[in-house]
Amino acid sequence: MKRLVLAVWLLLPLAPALAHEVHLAVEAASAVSVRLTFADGQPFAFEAFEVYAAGADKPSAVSRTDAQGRAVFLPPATGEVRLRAFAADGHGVDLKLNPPRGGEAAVAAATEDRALKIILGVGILLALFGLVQLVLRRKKHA
Amino acid sequence: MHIPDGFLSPQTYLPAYAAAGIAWAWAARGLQRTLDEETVPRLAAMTALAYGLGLVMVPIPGGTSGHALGVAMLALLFGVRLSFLAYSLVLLLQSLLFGAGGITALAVNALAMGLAGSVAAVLAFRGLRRLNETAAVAIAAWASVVLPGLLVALALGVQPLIAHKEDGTPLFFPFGLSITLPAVLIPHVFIGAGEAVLTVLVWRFAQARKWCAG
Repeated sequence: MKRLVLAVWLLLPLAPALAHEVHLAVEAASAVSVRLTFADGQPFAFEAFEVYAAGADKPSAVSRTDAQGRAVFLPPATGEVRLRAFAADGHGVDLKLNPPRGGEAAVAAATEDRALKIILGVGILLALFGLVQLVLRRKKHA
Repeated sequence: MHIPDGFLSPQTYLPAYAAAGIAWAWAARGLQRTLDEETVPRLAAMTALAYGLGLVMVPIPGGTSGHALGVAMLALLFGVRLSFLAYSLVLLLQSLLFGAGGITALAVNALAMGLAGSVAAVLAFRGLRRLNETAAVAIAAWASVVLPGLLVALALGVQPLIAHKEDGTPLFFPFGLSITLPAVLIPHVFIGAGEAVLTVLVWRFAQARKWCAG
């Protein structure tokens, strides 16, 4: 009996050590990769991002983008996800997206015609100022 | 420097909209007197230039990107009121067409870049032009970038203090002032130097055509 008590007493300190073990299980899973870049194409690299399932208060993933600016995460089975990515200088995104799930084809990022939008913006500005000019002329000649 | 949607708490952007509304009304008050048939085409050209400049991203060492503002040239050529109104329009278009800056953050962006940037440029220019006009324009342009940078860093950096969960987790922008101040200000010290060169070139172009009011 004494030997048993001694053995338990000697083994007890090992219990917490066993409890602190981290177990590893490698599983195949379909992740989603969202590539974030600055407007000049430079990757939004090594920046923090959070993923929220629809309506969730706590993030399901908190990580950093990789060197290519990719935010890689496992989406919930269904529904939209909210992706928030932050750089300390205030750059970043806070957007909702419906990522493709396993077996679905990847959704290509919308190719934005940047030049067209720049021209559109300049066109809107010139039209607005043209309108102001027209009003000024009418007032002058009225 | 454009703060996107989702980074600022309502405690920040709602008062900012109230303040910006007052500032927009103040800026629009003397519009009929200040605008004439000669000013409008020049203002249109400079506003379009500021719009374009804000969309040209330049890589900055450290893995981020920056862009010029173009607010100093508007302020120096047309004064604070017209500059603030024109730059607010630029920010609105950049936000709607490119997502550069959020609609909820528009008031903060307009107050920081449009109003504070214009005021900084005009005050620096008036204070220094007697010493050397070119240097005054350059410093005015630099100040028009760095002061808004400081304000944007403050607006972002206070978010964890004013909007967080009970356990302290930030609800909006997660980085505090100790991180945002150097992260925003250091790149903008260099962007300000580029802005200074651009503004001096535009200033000389405008002076050669007698656009400058003096």
